[in-house]
Formats: sequence, C-alpha cells, structure tokens
Amino acid sequence: MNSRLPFVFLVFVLTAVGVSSIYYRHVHNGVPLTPGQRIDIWQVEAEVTFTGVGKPVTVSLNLPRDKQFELVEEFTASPAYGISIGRDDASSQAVWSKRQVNGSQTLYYKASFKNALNPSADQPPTNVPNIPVLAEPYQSSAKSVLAQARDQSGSQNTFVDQVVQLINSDDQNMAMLLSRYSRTRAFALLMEHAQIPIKLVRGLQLEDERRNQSLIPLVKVWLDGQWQLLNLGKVSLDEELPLLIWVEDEPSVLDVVGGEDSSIRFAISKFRSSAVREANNVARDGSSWGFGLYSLPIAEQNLFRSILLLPIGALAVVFLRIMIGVRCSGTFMPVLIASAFIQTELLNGLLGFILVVSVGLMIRSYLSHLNLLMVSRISAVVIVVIGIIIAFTIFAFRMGLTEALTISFFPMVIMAWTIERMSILWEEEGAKEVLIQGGGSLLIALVAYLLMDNDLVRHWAFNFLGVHALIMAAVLMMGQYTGYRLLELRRFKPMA
Amino acid sequence: MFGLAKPLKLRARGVMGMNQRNISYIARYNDRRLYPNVDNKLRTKELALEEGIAVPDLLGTVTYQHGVEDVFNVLPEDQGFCIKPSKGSGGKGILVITGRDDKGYRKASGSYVQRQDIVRHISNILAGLFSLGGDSDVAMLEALIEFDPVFDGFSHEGVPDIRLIVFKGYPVMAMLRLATHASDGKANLHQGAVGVGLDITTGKAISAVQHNRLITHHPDTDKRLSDISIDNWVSLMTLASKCYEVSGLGYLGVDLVLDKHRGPLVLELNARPGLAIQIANQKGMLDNLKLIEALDLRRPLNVAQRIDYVLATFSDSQT
Repeated sequence: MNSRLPFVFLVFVLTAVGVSSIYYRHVHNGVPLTPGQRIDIWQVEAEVTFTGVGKPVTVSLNLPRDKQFELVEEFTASPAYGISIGRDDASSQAVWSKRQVNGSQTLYYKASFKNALNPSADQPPTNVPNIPVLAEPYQSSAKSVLAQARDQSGSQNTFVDQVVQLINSDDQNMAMLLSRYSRTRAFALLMEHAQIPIKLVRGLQLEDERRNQSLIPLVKVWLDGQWQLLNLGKVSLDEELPLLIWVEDEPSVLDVVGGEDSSIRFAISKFRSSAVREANNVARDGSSWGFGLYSLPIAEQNLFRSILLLPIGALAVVFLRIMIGVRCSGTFMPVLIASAFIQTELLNGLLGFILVVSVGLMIRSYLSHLNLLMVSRISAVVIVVIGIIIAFTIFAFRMGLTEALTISFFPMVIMAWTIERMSILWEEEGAKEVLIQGGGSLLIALVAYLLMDNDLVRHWAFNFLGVHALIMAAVLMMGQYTGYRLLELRRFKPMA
Repeated sequence: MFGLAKPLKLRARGVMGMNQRNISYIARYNDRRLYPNVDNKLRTKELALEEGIAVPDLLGTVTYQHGVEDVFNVLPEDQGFCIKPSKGSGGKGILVITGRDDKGYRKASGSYVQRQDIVRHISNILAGLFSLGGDSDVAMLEALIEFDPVFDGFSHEGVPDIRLIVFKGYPVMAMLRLATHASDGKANLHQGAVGVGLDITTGKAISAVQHNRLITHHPDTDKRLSDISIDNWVSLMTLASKCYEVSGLGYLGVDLVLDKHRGPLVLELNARPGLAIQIANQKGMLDNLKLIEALDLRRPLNVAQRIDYVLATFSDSQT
C-alpha cells in the first residue's frame, strides 16, 4: 500500500494549507466567520488653532500610539502648509510647516481607528523611577502620606488603592500636597517616591457625536505585570466608553513654534463598517501574500465571486454522485444550471428550465424526422433554444411578468445539449429514464443552488480561499471511496 | 430499514458496489490504452478473428456519409440483418431487422421501418450520436444471428445473450439475459429484461430477477426459469476466457450469443460491465475476485488451466 502514501500526504497537505489559511485570515486579518458582521470605526478629528505672528511656523502634533486600537486611515486638511507624518518606534508625529503665517489658523488631522485584533502585550517599564526631591513642607507631607498608606495596606495593589483613597479624602498632608500639585501630578510624585513605575498619559474618551473634547490626563501604574489605567481627576469617566490613549510620557500633545494662542480640540464620531472590508483594507496595506482578491478591480472581483462558487457546486455533484448515487445527465451540467438559478432566482429558474427543455424536446422530436446530421441538428436545437427563450421573454414582458425576464441567463448551448441528450435517452430508454436522469440533474442543481446561494457559503468561498483547498481534499478523498452508494443499498436490497 | 440493505451485510455477502468496481477493478486492471480494443467493435472483431474466436459475420461497413446508399447493395434480400455503431455503448443504436416484405423492413419488435429510416439511422451512427463522447463513428452491418432454439419460450421478441465477467482471464460470474415485452426486445436489465444468474461452473440457472425483484417464471411466456441449463458450458467459458488475451483487459464483460449453426459467438466485449449480474446470481462477486487476486500469476496459465482452476475452485463456493 505504498502508493497510498503520497495520496494521504497530499490530502493532509491540502487540509493543513486550507485550515491554516482560514485561521490566518480569521485571526490575523480579522475576516469574520459569518457574513454581514460590522465593526465600530471611531473617527477622531483634531482641530488645531493658533494665531500666526508673521513668522515661520512649525506645528508638531503627537499622534496616538495606543496598542488597543488600529489605525484604519488618516488624513490632514491644512491650506498651503507643508505636512509630513513621521512614524518610528519611538514616536508618531504630524508636522505642519509654513514660511510665513499671519492671523488665525486652523489645521485638521483626521484619523479612523478600530479595535486592534491582537493588541500586543504591554511593554514593561524600562527603569525604576528616581525618588524625587520636593521642597519642604511638601517632602514631609508626601512621606507621611506614603507611611499612612503603607500602614493601611498589605500589598502593592492595596497600597496604590490607599493612596488613591487618600487623594480623594480630606487628609491634612494630602491637602498640603494638593495645594501645590494637581491630583494627577501629586499621585505621580507619590508613586515615584514609592518606586512604583508610572506613566502620565492623556486620553480621549470615545463617544459618538461629541465635539470640543479635550484630552483627559490619566495615570498608568505598573501593577501585577501590566499597566493599569487610573483616573484621578474630579470628572469621572464613563466605564462603558472606550478610551484612546493619545500620548504617553510625552511632554506635550501639540507644539507650535512661531505661533501664539495655540489650542487643540477633538471631535469624535462613530460609524459602523463591514468587518470584511476593513479586514481587507488591512490585508491590502500589509504584506499579506496570496489573498489579493480584494486588490483586483471590482469587475474582476465579482467575476471571481461567481467562479469561486463552482467548486462548491462541484463538491455537491461529487458527493451526490459518489456517496448517494444520484444519476444525472452530463457530469457538470447541474452546476451550470445551478449558476443560472442564482441569476434567475429559484422558482423562475425551475419553471424556465422545465419550460425550455419540454418545448425543446417537442421541437427536437420533429427535427429527428428530418434526417439531419448530428452537428447540424444540435446547431438547430441551439437556435431553437434561443428562439424559445426570446419568445418566452417577450411573452413574459408583455404579460408584465418581469421576473421571467431572467430566463435569458440560461446557458444556451448547455440547454441545447441537455435537450439533445434527453431526446436520445427518450428514444432509446423511454420516458422513465428521462424522468430519472432529468430529475436527478434537477435535484443536484437544486442542492448545488441552495449551497451556492447561501450567504455563509458565498462569504467563505470568496473570503477564505483555504476552503477550496479543503474542498479539493474532500473531492480527492471521495474519489477513493470504495464503499457502497446510498442508493445501491436499495438496489442490492434483494440480496440482504 | 427504509428499504435499505445493511452495508455490513452486503459486505459480508461479497457484493461489489459501483465505486469499488470503478476504483479497485476497472481503474486498476483495465489499462486505458486498451479500451479501444473493446469500445471499437470493429477492432474487437478483427482481434477476435485473429485469435480464432467466433463472431457474427460482418456484411460490410459504412464510413462516409456518401456511402450510405451503397448499404442497400450489400443488405441481404431475404434474411435479417443488424446495423450497429462500431463505438456504441450500452446497446445504443443497434437496429435489428429480421426480414423485409411489402410493408418495409420488419424490426424485431414486429414494427416496420422504411428505407429512409435506415438511411437516417446510419447517418446518426456516422455523426457519432451513439458513440462515447460523440466521436464520428463507423456503422457495421452484421448478419443476423439465428438463435439456438434452446431458449425458445424463454425470451420474448428478442435477443437472449449470456454475460460473463472475466477477471484476469478467469470467468467469475455469469448471467443469461432474456428480453421481455417490458424491455421492448432488449436485453438490458434496467429496461425490464430478465436476468438469470448462472452457476459459473455448470451453466445451470440459480435465480432470476426482473426489475430488481426475484422471479421464478418468465413474465411473458410463463416458463420456469430454473429449468434453464446451458449445454456445452465449458466451451462458452473457454470462449469468454480467451477474450482476456484478445482485449488485454483484466476486468471484462463478455457477451455471448448461441447461434443455431455456429454455436457460441462473441457479440461484444465490455470494459465497464454492470453490477446487476450480482443481483441475478443472488451473490456478490468479490469473493471470487479476491481468490483470483490472491493467485500467484508470475507464470501465467493458459486458457485450459484457468478453466480447470475455475471448475475446481468455484464449484465449492457456489451456493
């Protein structure tokens, strides 16, 4: 049985390729498993205003680097400014520049974000903070606050909780600190004293239809091996809303050189977008290989949308013929009929098919008396089929049955061959065999149609090309199936 | 259950299914290169004559459309004849004329066709209507076989023929096919002909089926089918076994007819013989096939040795 080894290997490879490509598409590119899934896209617009004083201006805007979000697209609007967006490992910046600027100026940076699929893990702090030295009496106040918090806590977690509680309480020492420092700043100083790594960050609460928003100062504390976000401001945050961290440890969000009265405001809006489209936007930009169907022009995409359904139909044919034992006329005729059904809708398609074939059979039975050579007879049948379809279409249109107009989607030559084969079958084997094989063909076409018209199947066939490797593996395996067909169990019933 | 046989039970009885036939026997033992030896009946006839195997007489052939009218020069005036496509399959396109009178050419069924019908039929054959894949074809004119009267009363309006499955030159299963009114004189089981399973070692009837149901009497003539016993069975087996050398195909269906004067003739060979023979025999053929597959065939046996083997081995295994 050595000869089976390459076969088993091939099936295994196809299965592995199929499964891993589906996994990659789903997990890394974020293609959803079901069609019609939508994801939230946050559109954030930063509006930078300043007044020019007749000098060259350089405006640097730090851009968000939040690992929880993925940048979908960004653009800037700024009349007559030179603009460069620079990204490297350390920072992301948009820099506008102009030789001479006078009067009030407005610059826009607009970006859309979606939730990151696989947020990368937090980077641990690089170094332990230096203990700051504060002027008295703040230094001793800080020390007594820390001592009190340490007394009332058992672990680093509870210690941080205590400090937060003290900030919110009316503790005397705390009040002293807060008379000099902002709540966030005071907390940061205390943490540095306690040698707990922190980051001062500024974030934007993402809520639909909000304008004139500003960044909220927040603190990230390194606890239990991850950065925990704390809000020490008086304004409490809505826990439900996502938070986009705009800057971390940066001295400023906006830096305007050569201008005055600079300010930045944010406007936020949310829209929902097709998850598939967004996933493929990412795949197109990225280095994804081999999944480039979406990089094709729309017309070719649509062509492949229907072509990629044919393997599904072929799978149905293979299954119904090899495993069930349904008989049909013409190996893949049912798949082509099913493709036509997709264009015509099922009921129209079935009626149209039966109508055309039965009228065709009648005319064919006349043609058989004319003593024609086969090639010319089939050609005649092709012309007759076209005639029947035109006649039905005009008739249907006159009657106002616009649904019936789709009958012209039937493949004419295939129909002609079907009629020819059935007619011969009729003459030789009788009407019963025509019904069996014609019915078998229609049954297979129907099953293939139901599969090919299913939204889920269409979604998978086009978006997960790995499915076709799996179909290939299944077809190969069924090609080696030596067991009984289902209908053979009935056929051989008299023997067991 | 649900009118279905249990797969395990069928397997235990050695019943071969279509998929297994295609993959394990036809694909494995029948070299595609050799298919034309059996798919082209003209070629089969030539090969068979070289091996000294008796076949129905060839009256002539028509290769070109312009030669169609010439047919009427070679057709016998007073005898029947048969027109068939050289590359036809499954008995398609065979026109049997038993004689002619004032009303025209009489078909086996008793109905009449006219000269232009015969011309059209030959044109259809030439255009490839009946051939596999629609290739253009050659029409063969054959003398009508005068059937041995041994089957009188057993076959209605048609051609009784004997099908043997020959595996690597060993006959493994046999069946007699009798035409009925329902099958319109044809010997195709799925059209309603009666299939009578024959003991492969003796040529005696075992059981009979029509339309997949067991029967005991011919539905039209009401004769007892179990009375059937074919004389000279070993000579039929020998003839069928020789067809292995003729065709080179390991899994082969051999169709024989008994001529009143010439004895058994090879009618045609089939590279994809059907499975109904198992139902007619009420027995699967896998057991016999496996026995032969297990044989050491490094030193091929001649026809007589193979027949001896079959007689010695399969006589016990028959039920």
